[in-house]
Parts: sequence; C-alpha cells; structure tokens
Amino acid sequence: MKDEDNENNLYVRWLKNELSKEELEQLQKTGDNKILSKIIESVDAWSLPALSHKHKEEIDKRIAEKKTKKIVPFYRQTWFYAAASVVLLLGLFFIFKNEDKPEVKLAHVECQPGMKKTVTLADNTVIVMDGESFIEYDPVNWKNNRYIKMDGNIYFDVHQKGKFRVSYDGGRVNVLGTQFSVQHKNNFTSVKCYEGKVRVEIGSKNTALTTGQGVRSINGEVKNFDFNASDIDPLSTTTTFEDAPLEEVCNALSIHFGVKFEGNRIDFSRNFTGIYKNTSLDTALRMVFDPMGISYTRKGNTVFLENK
Amino acid sequence: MIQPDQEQSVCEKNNFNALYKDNARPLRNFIYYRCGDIAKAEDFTQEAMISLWENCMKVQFQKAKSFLYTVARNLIIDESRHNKVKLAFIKQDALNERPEDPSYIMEKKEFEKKLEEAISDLPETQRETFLMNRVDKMTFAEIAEALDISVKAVEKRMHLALSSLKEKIGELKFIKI
Repeated sequence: MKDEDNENNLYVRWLKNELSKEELEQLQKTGDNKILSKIIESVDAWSLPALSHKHKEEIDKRIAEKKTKKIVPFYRQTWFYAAASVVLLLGLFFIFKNEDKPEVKLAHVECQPGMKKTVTLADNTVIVMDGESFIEYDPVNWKNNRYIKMDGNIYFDVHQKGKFRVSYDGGRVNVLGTQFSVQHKNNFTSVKCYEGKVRVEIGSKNTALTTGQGVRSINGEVKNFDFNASDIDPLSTTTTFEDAPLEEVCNALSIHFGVKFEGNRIDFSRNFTGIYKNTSLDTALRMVFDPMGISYTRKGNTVFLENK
Repeated sequence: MIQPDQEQSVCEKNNFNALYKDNARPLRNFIYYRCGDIAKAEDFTQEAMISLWENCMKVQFQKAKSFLYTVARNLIIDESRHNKVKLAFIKQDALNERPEDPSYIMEKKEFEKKLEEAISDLPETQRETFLMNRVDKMTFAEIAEALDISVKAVEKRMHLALSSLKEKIGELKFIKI
C-alpha cells in the first residue's frame, strides 16, 4: 500500500470511476482491478433478512402500553412516578418533635447508590427512591401527619387529598397534586410536576406548577422550566434530560451512582440534552461528558472533570 | 419551541411509521455489523424507535435518522468493542449463474465465504462503512450523517477497507473467478 495511494484514496476513486487512465491501467496490470471488481460484485448482491411484521408490532405495542400507563391506577402498577412539589416545613417538623408527647418513633428508609426502592405508605401514597436517598416519616400517625423528610432523588404518587409536605435540608415543598419528583442534594433542588398541581416554596419564592412544569434551585438561584412529562419511567435504565443544566445531570449521577464531581473550571450552567444509561457508571460518564467536550478521570468515588 | 405548521412532526403516527419503514432495516443492519448478533440488533432497533417516539416532541423530522443512529450507537457502547464478530449474509445463488458448471459454483461459494470472513475481520469502523455503502446502498453523505463523522472520514475508511480486502483476497487462489 503506497502512501500516495492512501493520501488520495485511490480505491475510493476507483469505486467512483474517477481514476486517471494511467492509474486504471496500473491496477489492471497488477490484477488489482479484477480482484476489487469481484469483491464489489459479490458484496453488492449480499443482503440480510427482512424484518418481520412482528418487529414493528412489538414497537407499537410497547408505545401503546406506555401511553396507557398514566391512566392505570397507580397502585396497580409495578413502578411509580413521583412528581409534584412538596413543602415540608423543617420548622414544623422540629416543633412537632418537641411537643409534649411521648417520643415519636420515626421510620427511616434508605436506598443505596445504583438501587431503586419502592415504599407504600398507609394512605396508599407510593414512593420510589432512586440511588443514594433516604426518607423519614412517622408511620404510626402517618394519615394525620403527612410529613416526610428526605434527601436524594424521590418520586411521589400521592392519592388522598389533604396536607402533604416534604422537607429536605434547607427547603420544603407543598403538595396539592398527585405525581411529582423531588431531587435534592446539598445546594441543588429540582422539583417536577408530572400530574396534578404542586405549590413549591423554594427560598422566598413561591411557585405553582402543573403537569410538565418544574422549578430548580442552584445555590439559591431559582429558575422555572418546562419538561416532557410523558416520558418518565422511574424504573427505566435510561435517564433523559432536556435542556437541563449540567449541574442537574451531575446531581442525578451523584445520587444514582454515589459519586462526587470536582471541576473548578467547568461551567455547570451549560445545558445538556440527551440520555445516559444508568446501568454502568463508565457508560453514563461517557454519554454525558463526551458530547460536552469534557474529559473525566475517576479516582475511587470522585470524578474529576476538565475541559478538553 | 413552536414548530411551523408545515413541518412534519415525528409524533404523528404516520410520520413515525414512515421513519420506521425507511430506517429500521438499515439501522438493524448497522447494529448487526457492530455486534454480530441479529437478535440483539433487532432488539436495539426497537429500543431506538421507542426512544424516538418518546422524544418525538424534541426531534425534528429531518434529524430523526441521525437521532436513531445516535441512540443505537449509545446502546452498543456497553458491548465490548474488541470482540470478534462473525457476520453472515444471504448471498446470490451461484447455481443460477452457471448451473452447468459445478466447479464454478463451488469456487464462488468458497470465495464468498472467505470474503465474508475477511470483512468480519476488518476493524469495526471500516467494516461498517463498507457494508453500509455496499449492502445498505447508503451514500457517503448518508453514512457521514448517521455516524456523525465527515464525508472525508467515510472515504478514508472506505479506501482502507477496500485496500485491506484486496490484500487478503489477492492472496487466495480464486482469481480466475
């Protein structure tokens, strides 16, 4: 293989019939022309089996199933959505604790990185925890006292009307709706409403969200956003983001895999649209950071980020 | 983002079906070229189509093909890229060409088997480019769009594939075919 052949893609030009007379003669002389022709002639006639009708039918079936998922009663499903903001007054929580009552025994449920856990409460509220998360609530008085303390990535489906509040370190959410999610870790909070209505108190800001609306707070800065509420599946192996700040994506990865991110020169407010598979950390990192032009190095549970 | 009325929406079932009709089979083939497993390729093709449907509001009709191949590439990422694949194709029956010449038929069969092995042994990038062009009849521009590379890169891969195959096949003795 001569270098000049490589430089001007000799064989591609042969394919396109763009060779000079001399070049073609040379290939004929060496017999290369014949070999190449035989190769192309053969492969051009090769094929792979057609797709059966079933292939498309199965796709249509799965799409139809996803569509009707929302209408099927929550407690009949094997997985649940959590969306809706929940406000839980941290203060009230403490007052409640300090009241002149026999000590309330709280239930504390934890979920580990890489796992999902579903919890059903006495009022049929269903909670799905994704990754490193916990919830704390009063199981004995639950029906009269619907306060949950949480951290991590939690999905709620609340059935019965009435007061329902969720608190996390430094914030709270009030629920009026039925399906919502709260993602909270350190200084990052994201609340999404999938169905119903939710009133969110973040910092001093008070927002009402309906289906497909969300609000996120990063280091105190609060922004509303819209998202596609129909593509959520809390037990899915892929996570989808649409114009989400990199901060939120890293937050979700942190919760799911239990890793920390460090990158002083990285602009975490850059938007990311795409998906990652949450079955393997290495795959997810590649799928998020390669398109962003960010290189990453893993050292134990910390991932160091650098602009390429 | 508001879409102009004239633009086709992927969320329209007819449009989605048209995208399936045009892209499912070449997509399935592409995945097969990379992983060598037809069943897996068909599964991933379904996953990609479903993903397209779920994201139909965000994907422009013109960009749907690109989206499908991107999803497919991401789905295969998990699989080891260094596994050897053994591809098998449906081939034209030499029996029809020269039915009265059994030695020709046998030689052609042998030739095509060796060619199949040689193609399977090509580096992944060359293998898929070559097959997408010859078997799926995709133009260099279409391949470039699907794989998210430049047309120049496609041509380079094609050249290297042809060069490599020529070397391997040239060493065999079926030249008289």
